[in-house]
Amino acid sequence: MVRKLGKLSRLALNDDEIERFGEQTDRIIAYFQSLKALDLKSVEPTSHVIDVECWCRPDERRETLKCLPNLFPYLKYGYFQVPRIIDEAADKRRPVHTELSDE
Amino acid sequence: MSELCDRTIHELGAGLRQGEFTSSDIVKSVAARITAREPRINAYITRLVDQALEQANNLSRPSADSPALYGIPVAIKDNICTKGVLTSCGSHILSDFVSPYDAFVTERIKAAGGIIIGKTNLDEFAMGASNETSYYGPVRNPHDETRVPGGSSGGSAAAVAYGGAIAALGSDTGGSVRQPASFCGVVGLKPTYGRVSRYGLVAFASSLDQIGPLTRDVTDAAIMLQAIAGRDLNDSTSVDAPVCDFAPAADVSGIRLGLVKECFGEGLDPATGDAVQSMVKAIAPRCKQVAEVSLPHVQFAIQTYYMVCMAEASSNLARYDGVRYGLRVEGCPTLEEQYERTRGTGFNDEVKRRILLGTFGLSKGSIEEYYGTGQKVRTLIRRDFEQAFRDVDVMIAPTTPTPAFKLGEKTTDPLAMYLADIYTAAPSLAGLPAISIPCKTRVNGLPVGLQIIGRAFDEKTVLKVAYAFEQL
Repeated sequence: MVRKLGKLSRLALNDDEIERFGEQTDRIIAYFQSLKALDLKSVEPTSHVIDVECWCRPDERRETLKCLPNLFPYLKYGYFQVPRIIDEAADKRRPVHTELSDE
Repeated sequence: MSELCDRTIHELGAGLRQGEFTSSDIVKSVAARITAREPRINAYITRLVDQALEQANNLSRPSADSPALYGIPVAIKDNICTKGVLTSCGSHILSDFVSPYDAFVTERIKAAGGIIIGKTNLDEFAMGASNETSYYGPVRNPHDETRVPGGSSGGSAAAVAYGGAIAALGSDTGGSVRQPASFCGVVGLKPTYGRVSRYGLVAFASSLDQIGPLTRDVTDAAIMLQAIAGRDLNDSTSVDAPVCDFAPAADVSGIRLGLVKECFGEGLDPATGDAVQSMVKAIAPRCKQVAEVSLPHVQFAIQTYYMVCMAEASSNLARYDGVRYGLRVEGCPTLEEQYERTRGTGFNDEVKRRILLGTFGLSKGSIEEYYGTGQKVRTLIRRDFEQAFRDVDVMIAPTTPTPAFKLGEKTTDPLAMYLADIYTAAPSLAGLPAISIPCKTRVNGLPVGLQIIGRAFDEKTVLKVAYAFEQL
């Protein structure tokens, strides 16, 4: 499972990490199972503890941050530089899996 | 008289106004202490002593109208943005990231006259309870260098404890201000969620993260909160709640204290429990009432907290991809491999574990069972607090089950490390304000904290009770 999760979360993991994280995540997930004892059928989920009010800041002109070199260190000719992707063969574009049971 | 670096903000403010010493004297005193202790303690990732001294040299004697932090050296946790200064989050992946802007709180500290003395060490991306996971090495506890300072704001707590800063800012997601405050014998306040803007705080778990001060005493905590509280148009979760005068008074005659029954049972080190109970016993005659309260679902707080925070972390940390911010592993044939190898190299074990488990908890087929369950139990924990606050004004619990543990003691057992947050996670899940103050008695020579939890946006009462305890 850890190998698959690593793929989903774009984390390269070596064999040692896969083994170590496998044992640790199993234990942690088992610990989470204790919540199964609770009857949660009629309980609403909390995603925010405060009443979030939707509001917008005034749409006013502000000074532009001169920040691109900080945020994007790999700039070339004013563009973001990444490995070539345009001519990648279609078979290299692997689909993103979301079903853990696939494996 | 103690050295300047060991005094409080309010003591130094008074001395500055009376012309007893200058801000340069304070910065020099702090700088000398940093030089002496830092090689062992490692509380700082970036020291800004020269810039601080230059700033202090340009300050004139303050007047009665000068802002509260005028000329005071303040440290800032390295997950809070500071313009033109490295903001690394204790991570290899951000080890080159110089922030182009100031966080809201950084601006506020500067506006209040504070001098930024440095950026403090932390568990990588604020994920940890021991400050052992930083890319910049572990922080040691100033009271016993074989022990951890707590985490994740361990650098901020240690710096304030040893005189390397007069006060500091930390961030608290499940206890990251209160727990290190407890281990280092300082005061740590987590404000209500929404009280302080998170703009410029590098996100870990967005529904829980909150910035708070670490200080030498309760009055200083109030001064720091006063400086950073308030609504910010750049953070839609900052709340437009009235910001009152937080300066505390010691009168607790109308206060009903509630002792959280579930936090004094199994798992609590008896000596730590005794230290907290003896504080309660001493303050009881001054209060209106001291009673036991029950929060039945608090026993599920750790599981709930980690389910929620790991899911949010896995989402928030998706942005570190080798394209933006800093580290990139070069020479990858595909963009996907560049993502994977950059993230595999740039994050340490604990961050990877949380991303993996968070991804698991959010994946199709698991989201209802894990993240969904976590959100529902969060509701039950909130309701427990709401119910109990009908009968009491504040609740008391230990901050941590034990004093500071040894370096390396829990590094191979993540679950044992997670339990260090056992008493701090529940108030975080409910978004409530909570403070840790040092108990009067130590345990084997080590400080332990007493936690005071208040109603949402009632930091005023939390600080008042904390101040009354401090005056005992």
